[in-house]
Amino acid sequence: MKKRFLSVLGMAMSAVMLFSACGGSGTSSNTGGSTSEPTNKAVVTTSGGGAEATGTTDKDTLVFVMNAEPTSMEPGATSTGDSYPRMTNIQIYETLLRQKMGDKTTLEPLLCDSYEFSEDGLHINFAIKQGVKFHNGDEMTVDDVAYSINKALAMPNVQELADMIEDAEVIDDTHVQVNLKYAYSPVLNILVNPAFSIISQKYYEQCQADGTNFGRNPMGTGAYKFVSWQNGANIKLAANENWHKGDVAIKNVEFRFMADATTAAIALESGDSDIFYGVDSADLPRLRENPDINVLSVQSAGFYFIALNTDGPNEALKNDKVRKAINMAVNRQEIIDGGQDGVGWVTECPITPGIFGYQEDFHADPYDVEAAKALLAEAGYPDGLTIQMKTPESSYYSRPAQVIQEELRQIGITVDLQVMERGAFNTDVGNRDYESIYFWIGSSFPDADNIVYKLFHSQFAHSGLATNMACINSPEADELVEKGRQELDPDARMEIYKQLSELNNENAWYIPILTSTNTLCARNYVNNAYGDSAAYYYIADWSFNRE
Amino acid sequence: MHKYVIKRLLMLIPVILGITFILYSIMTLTPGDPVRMILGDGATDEAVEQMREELGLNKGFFEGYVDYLKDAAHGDFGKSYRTREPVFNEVFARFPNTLKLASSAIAISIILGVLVGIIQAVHQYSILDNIISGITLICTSIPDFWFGLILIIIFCVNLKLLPASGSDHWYNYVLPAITASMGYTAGTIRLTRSSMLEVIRSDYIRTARAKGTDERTITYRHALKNALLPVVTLIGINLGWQLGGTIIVEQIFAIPGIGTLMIGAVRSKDIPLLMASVTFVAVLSSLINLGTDILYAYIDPRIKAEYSK
Repeated sequence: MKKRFLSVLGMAMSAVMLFSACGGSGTSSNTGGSTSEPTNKAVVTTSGGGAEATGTTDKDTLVFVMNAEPTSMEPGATSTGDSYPRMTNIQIYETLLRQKMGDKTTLEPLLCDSYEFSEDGLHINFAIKQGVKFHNGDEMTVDDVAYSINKALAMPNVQELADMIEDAEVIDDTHVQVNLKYAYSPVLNILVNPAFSIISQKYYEQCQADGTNFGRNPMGTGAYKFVSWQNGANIKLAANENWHKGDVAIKNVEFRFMADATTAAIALESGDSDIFYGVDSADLPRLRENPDINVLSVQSAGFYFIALNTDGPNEALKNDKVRKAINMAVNRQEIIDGGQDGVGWVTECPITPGIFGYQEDFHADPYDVEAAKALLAEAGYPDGLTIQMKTPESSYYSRPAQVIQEELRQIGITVDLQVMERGAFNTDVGNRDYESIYFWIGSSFPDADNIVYKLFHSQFAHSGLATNMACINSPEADELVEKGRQELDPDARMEIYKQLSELNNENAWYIPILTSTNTLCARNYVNNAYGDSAAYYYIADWSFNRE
Repeated sequence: MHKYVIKRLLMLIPVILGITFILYSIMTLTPGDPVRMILGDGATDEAVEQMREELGLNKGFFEGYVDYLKDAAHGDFGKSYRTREPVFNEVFARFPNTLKLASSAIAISIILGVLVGIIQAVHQYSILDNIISGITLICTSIPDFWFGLILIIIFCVNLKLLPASGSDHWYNYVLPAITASMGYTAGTIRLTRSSMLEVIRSDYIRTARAKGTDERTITYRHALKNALLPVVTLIGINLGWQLGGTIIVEQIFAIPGIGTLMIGAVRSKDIPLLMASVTFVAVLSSLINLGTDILYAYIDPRIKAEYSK
């Protein structure tokens, strides 16, 4: 009897040893000698790249780890700001225009040859690129282009982003015209959003007819073809041999989903993966020190702020002196150091750095505890007061909010911090059921209007959406925002946004705190990998270092 | 026996009703709107209304629940709010991964647990016994997420023997299974030891010794059979727990199992998906418990006699 037990144990032990021995075959990378420093002006900080790079000779699959899974790959079916389907979709589908490698302010034609605005700015005429084929071999036609844009416009998720676009119509065999409801200069940036990806009308309708979920069986004209999607695990893509822009260097792509950021960082360090999106700031210092890894950080397209509800239950916040006191009591660098592990950029104007309208020289009222105390006393609160502050549960919000709580305590304000589950928080924000919030807003495209229109215009004060969260009702702000929308001269627009930033600082409706980073970590044998504020990573731009 | 099994199967019905009702209440009555989470912060009211209609969220509380049960009775458990796929597509896609992880973890805990437990009992109060007791105490106390990360650092980063993530190959499951089994192994060791010690002191073992039976035969043939009874129960319970999703282990090793599915569903307020996955796990656990009870009858004739009464 004992013998039998021992043999079972022996088998188990040898099985375990066998497991360990064979495990190494999962990865393969050879060491080379040359260096590959990513050259890209959008890259604000890189590290590690200066050291000796690793080449790879036999590798043909890029493992791209991200910390969440897209819910659907149908263009426009997901939130237009959601970066997860964006990262997968822009490989499979293409839009009329695209952002230049990692440079969000420069657009270049992709599925069009050229475009032309009408004089009144209400129509854009696109000359569609000819000879482009879908992955199934069908040729892309002008009908497909118009159909895709009109289909996107009808999607509930897209309406808010593109409310200035009326429709798209076919002009002739080679031209499609996009019609606008009103002239809007940043409109091309909207058409770059993957929601406006061009799909095959025939294939889409066929999917609908036979009950195939298009969002799980995507097909477009992009550099990579869809291969498989294993729920919760990975999405696999393979190079499109008939791509209209030629061959791609990386033949296969596997998007792998890893919810645990620390494991994902370790997987990158061990060479299990090549690219990692979604790094936790706590793991960054370690990755920066690793000579095999490039940390590509850029400013993200949004910023964190405190919004003080000027029309809420707390009477004190209707007093601009109280709000200004709060504005002077926050030490932004301290919040970044204490709440974000030092990762982030101080933000003082309500427009993110890196997008049009950002005021580089603008400064909010300086940090001054004594002056803030004096202002509070002047406002009639010499003994301080209590303010409720709501924030979502993620540590990106709760940790900085705790630092803010402590800073405001210095001037006698007790912050009743309520860290909430995201869905519940969204509902409260929709109902403006808060005294103040610590939250984030992002721009879908690099123009100030996308943020300030929503944040400052009085029509959005009680919209039920995460807009005008300070409930501002100021004719002055309305006028500035509207002027900024219609003005076409860039210098005049800059001036308008400067005035708006000043107006916000005087009234302290929003207290901008910091701009976060969007970080991509890459093994240094991935050439040309770049950071991008909105996760527009076109893998076709990249290659493996073969030396 | 058959009567007993049928009775137990019928008891599943109130269990399912209870679980679905509690879940439905929690998910619908707590604040948070799934539609806003799908559409993002900036969605227009019309868009939100349109989607609420599409997802059937405009129904009243009881109407919604009754409709859910009606559809479920016809085999339609709804579609995930987020992926728009029928919920059981998702559950069944994930379940094999959890099954692989759970069964390998349980296998490790049975083999190691019973063996080491017996060795400990036979050598009671020896140095070996004390050392193993100390180790099992540590093993039950170490949190999974920490142990998992340590294993990753040792085997993936330093030794480069095993991958840190993935679920495509069998070797992807080595570290997760060890991590998941650790606590259970320690529990099995301790239970086997104490139950063996109890049996070894009983009269029939003394009788066997008195008639001169060889010590090995006593330990493995006479004592072990009886000592294993409580261990079988523990293994059944453990298996139920493991299949319910070794959530933390799945998260750390990025295994697309039931656990990560449920967490995702809670986070996004994906009510149909959450209800389907939790109900599935609950039914499965009940069935495993039933299976354990039946197995009991085969191991222990006394219990079999009880059933037939």
